[in-house]
Amino acid sequence: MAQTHTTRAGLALAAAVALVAASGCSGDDKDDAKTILPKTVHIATAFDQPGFNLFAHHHNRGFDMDIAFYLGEELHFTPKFQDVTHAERERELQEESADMVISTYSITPERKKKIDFVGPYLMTSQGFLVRKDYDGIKKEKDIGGKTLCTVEGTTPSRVKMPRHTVMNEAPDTSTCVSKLQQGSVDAVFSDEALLHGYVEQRKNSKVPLKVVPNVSMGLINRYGVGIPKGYPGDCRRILNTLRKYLVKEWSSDIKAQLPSLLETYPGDWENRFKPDPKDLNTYSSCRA
Amino acid sequence: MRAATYVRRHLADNTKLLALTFLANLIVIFGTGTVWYAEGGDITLVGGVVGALLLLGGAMLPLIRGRGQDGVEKPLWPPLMLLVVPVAVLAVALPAWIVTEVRAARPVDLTHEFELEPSGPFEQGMTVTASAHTDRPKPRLFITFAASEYDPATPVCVPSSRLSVTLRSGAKRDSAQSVRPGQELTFDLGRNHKDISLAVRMTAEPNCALDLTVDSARVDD
Repeated sequence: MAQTHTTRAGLALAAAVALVAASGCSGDDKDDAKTILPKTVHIATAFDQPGFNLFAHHHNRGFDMDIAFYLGEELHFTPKFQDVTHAERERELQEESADMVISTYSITPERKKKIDFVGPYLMTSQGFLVRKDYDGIKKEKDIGGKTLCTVEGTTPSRVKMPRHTVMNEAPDTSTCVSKLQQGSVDAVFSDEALLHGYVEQRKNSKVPLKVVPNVSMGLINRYGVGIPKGYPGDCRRILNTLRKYLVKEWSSDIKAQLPSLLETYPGDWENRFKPDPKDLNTYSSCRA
Repeated sequence: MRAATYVRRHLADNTKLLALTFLANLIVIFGTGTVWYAEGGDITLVGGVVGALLLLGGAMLPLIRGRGQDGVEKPLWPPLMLLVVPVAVLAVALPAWIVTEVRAARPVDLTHEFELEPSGPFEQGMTVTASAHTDRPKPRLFITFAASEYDPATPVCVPSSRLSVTLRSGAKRDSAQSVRPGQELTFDLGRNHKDISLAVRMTAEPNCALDLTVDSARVDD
C-alpha cells in the first residue's frame, strides 16, 4: 500500500516536471519557429545605388543583391525586392512592411534598439567622391572651406566637419552625385565603398569621378542585414549563412560589383573592407 | 569556609579593593582609548572621552567614602561602583571593535568614489585620470571600466576599443594593463595607500568617441 502511494507521488512529480519542461520548451520553440523566411521574402533595398543595388532596364545587379540571392539560395526562399529610402529603413521593419533590409545599412546602437542586425558583411570608412580632374582635396585638412553633399538621415550626415565646411543634404546619393557633376558642390561625402559604385557607373560620362584615396572622416561603418525584432531563429540562420558567404563568395562578388575599389587599393582592399567572420558574433543582435 | 572568611574580611576593608578597581578603571579606559586611536579615531574625540571617563571614575571615590562615614546611609560597595565604568566601556568598545574588525576583513567598495578627469567624450588616443580616496586602504585594487557609444546614432565603436590602464600611485607604477571595456583589472597598491590614481588611455578606430564609466571598483586583501 505504502509502495503504491510512493509510486503515485513519483508519477505525479514526474508529470509535473514534464509539464514544466514542456512549457519551457514550447516558449523557445515558439520563438524559433516564428519566421520571416517563408518561400517569398520581401527585401527592402534602395533601388538606385550603383555597385550595391541598381534596377536599370529591368536588370538588377549589385553587391547587396548578391547577398540577397545567396541568402535565398542557402535558406530556400525567393527574394522579392522593394524600394526604400535610407530614412525609412527602420520603419519598414518595425511595421513589418518588409521582412528584411539589405541596403548599405550601417549597424548603430540606436538602430539596434528598434531592429535586429546580422553582420557585418562589409566595412567601410567614409570618404570623398570628387570630379576626376579635381585635386582640391588631398589630405583631411583640405576639407575645411569646401562645399560637400551628403544624404540626410545617414551616418555620414552626423560627422563633425572642420570649420567653414558647407554641408548640403540631399534625399539620396544620386542627387548628390548629380550636384557634383554639375559643379554645385566640391565633393560627395559618404561611405567609401558606396562611392566606388558611382565611379564605376559614371566612368564613361562627360564628367567622370574618382574617390580620393586614403582621405576619410568619421567612423568605420559596418553594413548588416536588418530584420524585425523577435525572430531569433532566423537571426541565427542568417548569421551562419553570412559567415559562410564571407569565406566563400565575398571576394569574387566585390571584384565583380566594385572594381573601382580594387583599382584604388590594389593588394589592400580585403584588409580594408572585408570583415573578419568572427565579427559576426560581436556586432550581430544574435550569436551562433 | 576559611576562604569565605578571608574574602569577607578583605571586603570589609574597602581601601585595597578600591585601589584595585580604580587601577582596573585606568587600564580599561586607557587601553580602549589607545585601540580607538590606533584604529583611526580622532585624537580630540578620543582625549575628550578618556578624560571624561577618568573624571567620572575619580568622582566615585569621595562619593563612596562620604556615604560610608556619616553612618546614616549604608556604605556603597566600592568595587561595584567603580566596576560600572570599565564594564560600561567594555560593553560598548568590545562590540564596536569586533564590528570594525569584521568590516576591515571585507572588501571596500569604491565604485562610486572614482572620479574621471576630464569628463565628457573619451576620444581615440586620449588619456583620462581615474582617482579615488579611501580611509580603509587595502593592498589590491579590482576595477572594471565600462564604455558606451558617446553618440548612439553613429556606428559601433565599443567592440573594437581597448583600454590601457596604468597605476600612477602605489607599489607597482607604470605597469600598464591592456583590456577591453568590461574586463576586470587587478593592481597591487602596496600598503596604506589611501589615494588611488590610474591613467586610462583608449585605443580605438579613428574618430571614435565613447562614454567611459567605472562599472565596479573595490580594494581587498
